[in-house]
Amino acid sequence: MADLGAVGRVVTGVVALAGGYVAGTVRDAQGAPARRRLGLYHRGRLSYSNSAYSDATSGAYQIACHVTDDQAEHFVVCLDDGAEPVQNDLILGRVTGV
Amino acid sequence: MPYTLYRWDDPGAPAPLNGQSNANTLINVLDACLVTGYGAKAPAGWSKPFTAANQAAFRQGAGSNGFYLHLDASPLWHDKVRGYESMTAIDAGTNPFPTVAQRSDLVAARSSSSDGSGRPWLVAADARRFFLWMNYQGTLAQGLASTTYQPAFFFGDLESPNTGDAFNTLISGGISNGNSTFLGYASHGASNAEFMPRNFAGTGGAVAVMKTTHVPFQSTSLIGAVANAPAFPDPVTGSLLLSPIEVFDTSGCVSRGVLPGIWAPGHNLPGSPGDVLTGVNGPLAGKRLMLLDVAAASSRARIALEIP
Repeated sequence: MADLGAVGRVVTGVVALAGGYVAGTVRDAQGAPARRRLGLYHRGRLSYSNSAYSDATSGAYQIACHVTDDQAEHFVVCLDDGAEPVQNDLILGRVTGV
Repeated sequence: MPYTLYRWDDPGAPAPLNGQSNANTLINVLDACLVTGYGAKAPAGWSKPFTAANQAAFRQGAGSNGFYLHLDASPLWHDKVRGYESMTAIDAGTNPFPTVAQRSDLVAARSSSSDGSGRPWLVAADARRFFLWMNYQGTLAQGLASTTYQPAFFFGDLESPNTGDAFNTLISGGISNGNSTFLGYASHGASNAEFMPRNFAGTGGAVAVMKTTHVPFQSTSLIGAVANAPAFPDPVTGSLLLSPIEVFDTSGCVSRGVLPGIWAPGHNLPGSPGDVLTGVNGPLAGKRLMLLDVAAASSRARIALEIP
């Protein structure tokens, strides 16, 4: 069969100029990976940036910082599991997106 | 594809633009940016094969179609401009784009004032094309800030879907008084101030073209000023949403390519003019983009320009 070479054209649609991500792993009190809701906040402005859920199997999470915030410091709030006895929420402070 | 960025406030930069008749400030700016370089800035690789009093013809550099841009600095407030496929003298060019019949008053603006006061300018260029922005009513102190009139000009080759398109050179200017913003408009019909030397098939003469973006709700409106678009930063990703700006033949609506390094924000006037944003992740990781207004009175567009 003849080689027609590259056929067709990929039209670039809307793309994102994305800033850094804050990523980590959530574990429960027994040290097992856990699904939790997390919020990302700009430390200087005390303003909400974004949120995510950690993965139930691996505990991994990734939250996008605003592209406007460059290397600004943030803090992550990990909410406790509403189905379990009330615990203080956890804070991971002074993180920057990469 | 990174452009070299040249600015009015660079060390050794040529004089700011002014609006006086026969002020060669725009010719001098393009000569310094495209042909000779200045200070620590290397030239973009163009040539200036023909000159006369208050006129110059610049030619695209390596890897380009090798077309010519003629400027006439005699009017007040702006230079009259026209592209040519070839030239043998300052007043002898063939296959003009646009033709005089299509547009006799295509211009690149300098200044709204004829008092000789300077206007900030910015040029982003490589050997194949350049983008020119000027703060037509802004003082040097205002710099990149938003003012009433901020026209823009583009001359050079698009990134074409057909690598064999030997006529994919766009001239995008203003008309008459030079303060219009055609580069900032998406349209579904022939532009008044944007032309290419031939159609996609390489036949016939100069054609008026149209351009648009892939931003949802863009319609026929100002680029980067899209009502109903997501807030900035995008609430979902925290990012600056961007679309290529794509140019089409009006006949058949076929794509001629995209404006290289010039993006359409998918927001409603995001950020502020002069803001520089850096991509950290995703398809545009490592790229730096500067937000710029391309404005005429209440018609305000905002583009994102790739810079080094």
